[in-house]
Amino acid sequence: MTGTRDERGGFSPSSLGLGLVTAALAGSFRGPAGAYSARSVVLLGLVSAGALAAASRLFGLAARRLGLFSGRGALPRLAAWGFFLWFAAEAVRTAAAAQMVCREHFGTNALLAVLPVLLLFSWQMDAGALDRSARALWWLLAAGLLVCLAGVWDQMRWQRLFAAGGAGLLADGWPPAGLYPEYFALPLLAAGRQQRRGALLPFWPFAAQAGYALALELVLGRLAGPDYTGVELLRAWALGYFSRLDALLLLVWLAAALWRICLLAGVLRALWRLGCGQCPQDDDKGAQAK
Amino acid sequence: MGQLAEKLSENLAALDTMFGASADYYAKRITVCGCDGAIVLFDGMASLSSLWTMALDAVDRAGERLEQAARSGGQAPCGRQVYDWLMYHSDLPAESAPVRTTEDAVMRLTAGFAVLLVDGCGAGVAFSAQSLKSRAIGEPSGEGNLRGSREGFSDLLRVNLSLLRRLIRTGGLVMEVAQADTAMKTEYALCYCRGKADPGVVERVRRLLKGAKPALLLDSSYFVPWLLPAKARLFTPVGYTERPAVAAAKLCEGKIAVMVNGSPSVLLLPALFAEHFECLDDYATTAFFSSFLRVLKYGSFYLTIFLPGVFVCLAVYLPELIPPQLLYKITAAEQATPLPLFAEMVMVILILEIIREAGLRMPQSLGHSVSLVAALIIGDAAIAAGLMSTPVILTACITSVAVFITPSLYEPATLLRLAVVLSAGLAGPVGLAAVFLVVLFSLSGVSAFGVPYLAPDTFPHRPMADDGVIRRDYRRMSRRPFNIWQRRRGHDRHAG
Repeated sequence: MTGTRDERGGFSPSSLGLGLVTAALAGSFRGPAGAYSARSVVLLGLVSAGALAAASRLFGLAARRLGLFSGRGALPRLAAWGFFLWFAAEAVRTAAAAQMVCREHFGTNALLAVLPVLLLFSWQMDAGALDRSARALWWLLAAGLLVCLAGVWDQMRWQRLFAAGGAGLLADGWPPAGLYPEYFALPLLAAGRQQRRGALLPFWPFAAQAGYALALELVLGRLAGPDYTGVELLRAWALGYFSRLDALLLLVWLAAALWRICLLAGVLRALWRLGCGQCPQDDDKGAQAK
Repeated sequence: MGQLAEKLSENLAALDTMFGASADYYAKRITVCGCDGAIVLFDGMASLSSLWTMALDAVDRAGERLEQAARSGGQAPCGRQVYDWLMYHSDLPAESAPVRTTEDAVMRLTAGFAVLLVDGCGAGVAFSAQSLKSRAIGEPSGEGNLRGSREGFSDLLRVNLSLLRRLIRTGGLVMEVAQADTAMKTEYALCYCRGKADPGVVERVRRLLKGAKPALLLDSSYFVPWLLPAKARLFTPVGYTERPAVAAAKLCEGKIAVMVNGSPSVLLLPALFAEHFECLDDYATTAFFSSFLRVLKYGSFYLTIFLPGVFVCLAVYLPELIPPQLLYKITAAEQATPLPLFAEMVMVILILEIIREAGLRMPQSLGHSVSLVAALIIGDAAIAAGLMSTPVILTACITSVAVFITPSLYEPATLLRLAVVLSAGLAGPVGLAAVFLVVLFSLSGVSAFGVPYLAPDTFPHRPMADDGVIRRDYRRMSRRPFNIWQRRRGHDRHAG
């Protein structure tokens, strides 16, 4: 047995990474399939992730020096409200993505009723509790990934990566890299030494995006036309007796998306308090670092 | 309640006022070393013959010397002299603490002691002449084990304390007994291992127990609302055991045990979620086999919560996920029943709960009848009448059996199972995803005295921990004994 007293504050990088991977997967599901070659997504995405990681680290250092998340003074309060708006937009975007998946794939608007109840349930949860629940979701996502790989393994053709007439890396333009507020709010979200590891957060969504683009191209090649979205990869899944499992994999993603919304709600609560002039130390239950 | 009076008659009158009408109250005036005295006890709790063997005979013989010595001085010994002699200068096995107040006298008497009061002295002498009748020490019916000790806690607090002391034969074990602030003045004991339990938490628990004011205290679980106050909670981060061996093992891990007189159930805190999947047998078998059993237990627990809900969700909302042959069978079975699948599942689950409750509360002689009737209703009549379908009954029965693998999680598992079925039936896949998060948050949001219920380094973060979902060789585990208050290496790094 290895249970011990919980003495940490803030979120771990793996928890924040779960939220970012969820957001990146939403983009992969909804985005047009084959808009960018897998090669450009992997190589140029790596450059983007590296640049974002450097920016995140530098911003984090500057934020600590300026006491940007201390809640005292005009600049920290202004920053808190700025980040509040950014996180709120991110929460709305995640909720919209989840609602779209629910409507298009499950034919239901139940999310509108379920989400407030879930937010009410998780409202008083601290960062440690969300952190612990993230681990279970990671295992679920990993299991989903394995099932997904098992179902499309037979359909992967490596030669599709090297199709004739392949254009240059920048032929389709620079693949967009997700810009999330978590990258720049690390002093608020993570405690102590976790912040240094947190600077590598941009690589988490990059890994999800690149992996998805690679699998999509290996299975379906470069799809052309706006009718095909990334979710086609899940529809291609088949494993012996079972022929459809895309809904189950989307269900796992939906659980992760709902978790991300709860996390963002916790961060918004902390930012609201900061914006109102409460210091992080005043609140021992909030999502911010202690 | 107050100080004992110097006059024996006043003390006896006070006790008579309280207990005079009771048939078991015994008070007899005697002469001790030429001085008036009285023996007070409760019949059936203290034994007169033990008291005679232990004290009165010796007082009769040895007291003559005191009487003669006093008379040679020209006067009979006074009550204070007799008391001093009995307490401090005789070989009598009297209790070391004198009885000074009426409240103290009542406490001793109701614990089975005999109290000797002497005229002219405002204090009494207590003798441990207990002859309490209690249930024999047997194997607890609720915690089955193949190997290890067969002993179970009894109902008497003192017997239970002795069972613990017999197992932990070190000076580290501390067992503090106190009286709860209740109508019945029930005794309870706070047990911990000095050097292993966190002193701050022990002090906090002691304070909380002292401040607790339950109307009645019939079991250690009555203390939980004072120890861990919460408006609503599905999982309670405390454990219960009726086995001294389990309690001793937990005390050695730094946990705190609370025992209550009259109950064999011992409260252990703080508890971890993973502990519900462990038992003494785990350490008596090979690591491989116990790991296999633990994985099975975890699987059963999640199965019992999610299987009916997932079944309803897939069959009603996502039938394309079910293989065609299986789907045809489910559809054919459902077409013969009048109720929708969701309502059917809720009904079967509720009926099974009613049967379980009836079987539990009913006299044992009627238990077989309940089983028989239930088997006929569920197994045959409901299907024959076309009220319920076989796949639904099969699913509900599997979950009902699976929950008994972890009986300590029965309450949350039952509530969550119903919640999952209702969410999945009403809101479909979205409800299922949401209720999954609710289960997860219910587990991860609970902690007791700073120890999270879902221990930070157990499954799923480190399933290969020494003693997690999979356990290592016991010799290897013994190199680093577990303590609930230890700080993980990761935490140390983090805390800097």
